[in-house]
Amino acid sequence: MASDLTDEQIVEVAIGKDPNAFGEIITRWERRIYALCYGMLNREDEAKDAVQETFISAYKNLSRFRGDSKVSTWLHRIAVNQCITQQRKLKTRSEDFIDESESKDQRVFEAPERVSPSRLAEQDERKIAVRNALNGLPDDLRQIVVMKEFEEMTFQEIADTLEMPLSTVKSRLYSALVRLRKKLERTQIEVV
Amino acid sequence: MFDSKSRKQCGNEEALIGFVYDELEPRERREFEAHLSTCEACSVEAASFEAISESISAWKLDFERLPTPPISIETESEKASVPRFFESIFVWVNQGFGKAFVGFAALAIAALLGWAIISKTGEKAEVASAEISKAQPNADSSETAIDKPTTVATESLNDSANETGEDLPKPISNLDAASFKTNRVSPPSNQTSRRSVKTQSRSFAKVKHEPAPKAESTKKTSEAEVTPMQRLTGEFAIDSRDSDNLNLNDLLDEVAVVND
Repeated sequence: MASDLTDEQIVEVAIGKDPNAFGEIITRWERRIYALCYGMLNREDEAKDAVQETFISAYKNLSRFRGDSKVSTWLHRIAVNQCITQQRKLKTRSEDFIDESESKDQRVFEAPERVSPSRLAEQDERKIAVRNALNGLPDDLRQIVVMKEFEEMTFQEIADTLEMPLSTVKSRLYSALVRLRKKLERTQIEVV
Repeated sequence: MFDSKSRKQCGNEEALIGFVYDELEPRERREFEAHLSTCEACSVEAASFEAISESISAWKLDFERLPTPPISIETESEKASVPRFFESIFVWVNQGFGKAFVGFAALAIAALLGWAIISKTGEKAEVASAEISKAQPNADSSETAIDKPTTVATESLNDSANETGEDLPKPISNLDAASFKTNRVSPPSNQTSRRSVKTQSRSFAKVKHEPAPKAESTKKTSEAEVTPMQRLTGEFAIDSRDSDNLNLNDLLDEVAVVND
């Protein structure tokens, strides 16, 4: 498949005559969708499942893609929905598992000196706190933070992907960062 | 420690976000930097956002070390390969034409098998007849008429066998002529005649596997090997009449009558 074709053209080919052309879409987007899923789900295994399911779902619904939106928008929507579904499943599957995971994180957080008193430990502590804080954000805000931080998308790209005004993207990101800061303050993490 | 309660928003949120993520135009950046020098709230907020972003970036490093998982999707062409092939055959067979084709194929196979079995049996009978015809010169010349068709067939078989280099059983030249006569004597009934010929074939088929010089003992052997079934069917009674007690001329006359 020619790499100079746009995503939309490739999808057209995949719908029309060559379903295998969808492989090029996977090649182009798998890493970024994986990053999105990883940032949204905060677990490697779950992120792997989500990215796999995202592309399977996209392939199955290839004929429904009308070209009204961009392929990236379409894939991100599917991925975010997949992550939300996966999170719900996780919550209902085992509360014990989540509790265990959180208490483990908490244990590391409560006794950092004993594990490692160095700056590395402090960074780990901060990292875990930020992860937990991010998990506590609403899906729409968390998605923008992940797209910005993990996918390193520009505001304009996020706006295009989510099909929303640029100003909305910026204001949502601002709101997300304010909430994160508040959450981190509660966990006694220094953010300044 | 950061205290968010003491902060006041000054309406530069979008510029602040653009500044933190370095997405301001050079002119916008210069203007905002000028604002930061005068607005403590924005300055503190920008610093806190940068710290959060750095923390997320540190977390992202964990992700960057992870390889991209392989994505495997079964495409339509892959699905269509083996299972679809058998599925289509199954569907086709269930259709009217498919059923007819399968029925025809089954009949053809049955016919081929039948033909193979019949030709195999016929071949054995011809070989047996060949033995008879080869032994014929030693017997009475009046019997030639009975065996003529078989002899012709046997000769042609022999010729073809010679061409192909196959080893046919050796003619039993020194067989006792009387034993043949006894075998060939048949009652006027067609059914009995057929049975008689059948018995000939059987007895010669047996002889075929025995060495030729022992032909003399064949008669005794055949008598000795009478099975209970042969006794029941009467085959033995007809075929194994003691040749010594028969009048040859009477028998020839009987044969002539049958032929007439």
